[in-house]
Amino acid sequence: METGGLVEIRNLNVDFGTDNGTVHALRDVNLTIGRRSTIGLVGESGSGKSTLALALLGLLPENAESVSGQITFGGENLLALKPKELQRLRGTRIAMIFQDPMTALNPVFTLGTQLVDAQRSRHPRLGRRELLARAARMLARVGISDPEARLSAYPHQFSGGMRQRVMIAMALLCEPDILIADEPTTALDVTIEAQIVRLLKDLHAEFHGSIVFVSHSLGLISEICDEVAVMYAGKIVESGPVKSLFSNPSHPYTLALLACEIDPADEPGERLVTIPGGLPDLVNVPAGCIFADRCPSRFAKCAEEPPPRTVASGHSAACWLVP
Amino acid sequence: MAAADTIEIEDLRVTFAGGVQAVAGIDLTLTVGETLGLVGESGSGKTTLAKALIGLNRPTSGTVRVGGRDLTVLTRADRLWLRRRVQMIFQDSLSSLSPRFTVRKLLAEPITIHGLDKAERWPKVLDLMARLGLAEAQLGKFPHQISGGQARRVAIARALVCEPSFLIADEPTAGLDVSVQGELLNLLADLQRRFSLGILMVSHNLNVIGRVTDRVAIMYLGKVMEEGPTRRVFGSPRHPYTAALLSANPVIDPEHKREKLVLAGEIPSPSNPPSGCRFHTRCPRAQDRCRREEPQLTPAENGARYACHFPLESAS
Repeated sequence: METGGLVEIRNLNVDFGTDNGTVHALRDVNLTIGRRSTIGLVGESGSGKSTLALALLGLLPENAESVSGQITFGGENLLALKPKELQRLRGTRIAMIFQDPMTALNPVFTLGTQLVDAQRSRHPRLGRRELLARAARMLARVGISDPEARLSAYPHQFSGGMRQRVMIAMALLCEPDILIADEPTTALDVTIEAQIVRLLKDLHAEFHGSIVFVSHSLGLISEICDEVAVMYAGKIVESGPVKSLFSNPSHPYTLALLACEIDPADEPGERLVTIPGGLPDLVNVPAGCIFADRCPSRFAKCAEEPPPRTVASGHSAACWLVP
Repeated sequence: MAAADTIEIEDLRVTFAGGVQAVAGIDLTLTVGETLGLVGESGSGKTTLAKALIGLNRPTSGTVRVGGRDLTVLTRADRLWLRRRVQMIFQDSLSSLSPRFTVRKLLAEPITIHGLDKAERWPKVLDLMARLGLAEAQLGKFPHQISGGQARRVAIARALVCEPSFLIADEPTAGLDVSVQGELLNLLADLQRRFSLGILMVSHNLNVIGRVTDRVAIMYLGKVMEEGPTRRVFGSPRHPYTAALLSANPVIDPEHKREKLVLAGEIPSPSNPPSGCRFHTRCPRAQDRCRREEPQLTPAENGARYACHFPLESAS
């Protein structure tokens, strides 16, 4: 029996080369993904949540000029693997559902062909007929009616919600240890989002893997996840069990994000809360706490970078105000 | 309320080629100084309705009256008159700005088109820019040189240059981070007070609609399912579709306590809407009568109207 988490991310740093200089997109990220857990990565645009998800898959864009640290998964450091070895993991042990189901499927192949191809590396010994049968069973499981007939359909014959169900089916056919879902419901209507969230929850109870759920929505994360990591400008500023983090949010950025959530109980005339200022420059990263220049509670000590400080068991926040 | 201060929509229908009934008989009124929210899933006809109010979609039947004048019989010259009263900000602001115009030209163009005195108007434009948080240094830039948030502000400024009475805002906060979404909504509220604007806000974000609109209309397959004062409709929905939308809306729930009402299926095709009540194929309360007979909008005691044979109990 292995101990510890399924994935241990230690001191992960990712730099991107751009025309304006080197962008330090992730800095000293530490995160443990537990077995069979659902962990949410939440943050605004530019927080690095998608970069972190892509690093897990070894799919960082070509301009990632320096990647350091460790991502330990099944005894191997993913960052030290050769592209071929990573390729072996993708589609067998790690799978991903992308934000836009419209572009994630190939328009010129039938669903059957795409669902068969997705299983090839996981089940190299099975023939097309068996793989198609598996695909049909999985389509039925994700709520697509008449699955055998649908296998010969093309993606354009499906709505956005149906395509996202197909993407989920495709990912689960690989029986992955980690399923990464990057904003899987952002392009969908709220009623369809609720269907997909319920489906992911039901399926999670059946399959043995962990889910990494990337989202900008605190509400969605709180509904679906057990653990959450709040990201800001390339750092994890607070992380912990969902119950602990939402009942006792301790980083001023988490508090600010929660304050921005519109509470329907507020009086309509009241001003909406915003976070003044903008993201810091990630080329010349300012010293000290990364949130300091927008933080309402900053004080002299914030010129020094705060380490993660323990709020409660498994719950930490990188802020000097945490005792 | 004088007709001059309203947009009145009466039995409006917009049918596209192929028999797609995008808007299938809608009655609504928008008054200056108030914000009306339009909510519904993709394919419910929200944007088609919004575009009909500025004459971008021709009604197949029914009328839209702006300040008492029927849009269906407007001449070319009348359209200019209409544009001074009703303006729209589109969902994708960047693509609504000509890439070959500088911000200065984009903001000056409405003044020229309407033959207004530029010397008198320009200081007001600068004032508007200041209110929107746009620096004068932006005037020389082209749309591709400014950020998405700035493009959205330029689109708002351009819409308000000629001081219209009504603003149609199609998904004004879509794609914005929560930290800046509030800023934009606060800004619209300020501008509304300043110009006593009537705003039609199209959005699928129920939190935003619940917070900033005075009245709300819930659309489904081209029809209004429920309509009325926002707080009352959201506080005590009578139509099962409204209740389902509100239930599906994610809220912070770390204890995973809330049981969601999840609708089965998807919105049917508007070219072949279901018989009777359009919502019956997905409605948890549907009975035989709903398949046969289309419910009409009925006034409720709380000032709202709903179209349902078997409405939910009033919470009050």
